[in-house]
Amino acid sequence: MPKSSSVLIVEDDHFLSDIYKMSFTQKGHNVQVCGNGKEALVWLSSNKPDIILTDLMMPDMNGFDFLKAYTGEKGKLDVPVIVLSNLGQASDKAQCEAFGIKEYLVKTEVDIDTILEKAENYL
Amino acid sequence: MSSFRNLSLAKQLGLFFALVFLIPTIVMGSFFYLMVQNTVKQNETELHYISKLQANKVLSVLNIKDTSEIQKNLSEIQRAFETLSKTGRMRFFNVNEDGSIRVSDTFGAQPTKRGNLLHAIRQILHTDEQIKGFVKDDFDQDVLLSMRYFPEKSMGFILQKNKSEIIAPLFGFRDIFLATVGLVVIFLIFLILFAVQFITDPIQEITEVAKRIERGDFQKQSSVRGKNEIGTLAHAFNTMSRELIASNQLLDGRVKEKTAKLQNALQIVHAQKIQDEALLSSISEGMIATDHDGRVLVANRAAENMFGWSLKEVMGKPIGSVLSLQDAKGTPVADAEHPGLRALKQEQKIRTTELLATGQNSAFPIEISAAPIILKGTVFGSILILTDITREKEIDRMKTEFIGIASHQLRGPLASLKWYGDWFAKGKAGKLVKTQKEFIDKMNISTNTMISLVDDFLNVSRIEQGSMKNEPVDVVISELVTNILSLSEHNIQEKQLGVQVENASAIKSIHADPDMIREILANFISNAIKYTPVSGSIVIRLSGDERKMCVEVENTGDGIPVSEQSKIFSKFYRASNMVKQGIKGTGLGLYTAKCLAESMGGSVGFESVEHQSTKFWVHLPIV
Repeated sequence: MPKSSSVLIVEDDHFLSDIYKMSFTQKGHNVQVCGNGKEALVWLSSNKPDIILTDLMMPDMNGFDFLKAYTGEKGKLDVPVIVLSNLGQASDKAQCEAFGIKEYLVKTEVDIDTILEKAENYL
Repeated sequence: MSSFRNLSLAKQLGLFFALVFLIPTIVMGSFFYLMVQNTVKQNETELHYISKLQANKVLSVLNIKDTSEIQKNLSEIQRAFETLSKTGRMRFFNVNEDGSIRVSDTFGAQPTKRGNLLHAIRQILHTDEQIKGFVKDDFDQDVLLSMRYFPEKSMGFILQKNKSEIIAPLFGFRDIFLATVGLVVIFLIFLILFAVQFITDPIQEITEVAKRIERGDFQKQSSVRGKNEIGTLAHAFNTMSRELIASNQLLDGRVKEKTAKLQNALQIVHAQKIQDEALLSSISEGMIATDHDGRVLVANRAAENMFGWSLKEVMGKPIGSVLSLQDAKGTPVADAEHPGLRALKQEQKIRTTELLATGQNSAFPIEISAAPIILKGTVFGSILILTDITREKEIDRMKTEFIGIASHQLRGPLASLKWYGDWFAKGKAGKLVKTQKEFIDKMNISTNTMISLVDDFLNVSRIEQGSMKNEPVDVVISELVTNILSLSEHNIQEKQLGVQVENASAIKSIHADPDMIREILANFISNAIKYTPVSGSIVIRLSGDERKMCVEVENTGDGIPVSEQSKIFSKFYRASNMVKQGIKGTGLGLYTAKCLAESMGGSVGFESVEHQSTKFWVHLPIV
């Protein structure tokens, strides 16, 4: 049984955030869900998760801006980040990788077990 | 000589006759002159001969002892002389002791001219030489002289003959000569007048008539009559001009008839032309026709309106400049690529919808259908039908954009469906009974089909919008193939397919966009897996050199029906035999692969033997 970790999910689609939450909780992790980048930054100002899973296309503040703001404060990512998006183009991937993210996954190409598996590699 | 030829006939004749007259005149004149000379010489000789022969005879006959006797018997001496000689006149002279000379008969002599005779006598006294030619005597008459001097008697005689006496016999001859010359001159004048009247005048008149005929005036007839050559000539001229008039009238009639016919035909042609023009200008598409050099011959009103020029301005100009084209990137289309010129050169129909035409203000997308105009087997020119497809392109762009947006929006709920379905299928939401498991599996398959459909739509819309980013990096092809195969491992095992990768090391790496190249290969490989029957085999063959690489994906199976092979790379096209078998697909995979390969400077193709095998290949440049 792996140790219990703090997981931040940044996802505006409740259906998806629900299944994230369900699967990660089942594995014994503590899950915090934020609907967009802004909310995530607020939460992050007083918390530090073990891993962040973020979407890219979100209202108010999208994933790119969120990653930019988050790294901007600290200079670099001090938490492993996995990007899960509907955007599959190399340019989107490259933009995110520039922030130092761990994984870039296209949602429709993976299932939830794969995500969990990948995330636990960094915990 | 040429100046003689330029003279009129009358002058030529005049000159000719003058020449004919002059030559005998000169000959006769010379003959007369020589005759005079000869007569003079003959007389001279005769005179000297007689004087020599008769000198002593005269003295002995007369028995003259001194000059005083001469004086006394002068008339007797004269008479005696005359019996001796009928020629000339004899005169005596004696020389006195003081040297003075006395001539016997000086009656009628002019005293002032006496010196003439004395001078002659002195010459014979001193030199004993006779005087040649005529000299003046003391009567101031031209005479021939012959003298004899007898020193022992201090006397001599002179035999002299007057010039008139010598020449006189010739005068008759001279008169005949002069009369002949006069007659000949008169005769010649008459001859010239005759020639002028009977030869040159008619010829001049005929010449005048001929000149009129030359100017096209056939009305004037020659008035020359007669049966000689000139008369015949004039008659021939008159006949000719009459015939010319007749033939002219005939010709005139025919010309009028033909002109009427031509005018009629012209009217028909004109009517036809108006009809054709109306036809051309009524076509809503632009139309330009060129000659075989690609120069504009005709353009209709729609073409004029489309480009803002008039036919007059562009007629005869090369089509490349009249219809200037550019590709989607704005690069001008070279003449060799110009559809109008390609249709001419390749002698086949060319259709393109990919180019932009340079219009009045901006470039606009245009559809061009160019075809060679073939007349009796020879390319006579080309015809271009032009359609402004701005609106069509805009609709197409909007459609592509819509598909892009829609597909992207679809991905969210599809991810949700996939994740929950998966969750269900794995029994994480509670244990499923057999039928529930079966159903949820089918739902999941449909979800996955939908996901790949959306992925294909997205790819196509990106390619068509040109928003597909081409970011080349070094890609190791064999690794990429292995990776694609590993993702399809499940399907390969399920169908028990034999998969082989040949010459995996033939290509080390290629500098290309990894997403694009993956898309192409994944399409070929997933198609091969999908369309190979259970227990079939797939061969992936790599080959290449320093400049290009080739990947072939060959699979056993039904193959592609020959009748459908030409459409296989078309958008949404699916082979009928596969559709019948219920194999799912979007009909976008090969189209996407073709678009991507071409955008990378490569190409795709295939070979298929029905009921046997199919082989797809992609060629890409290495750099």
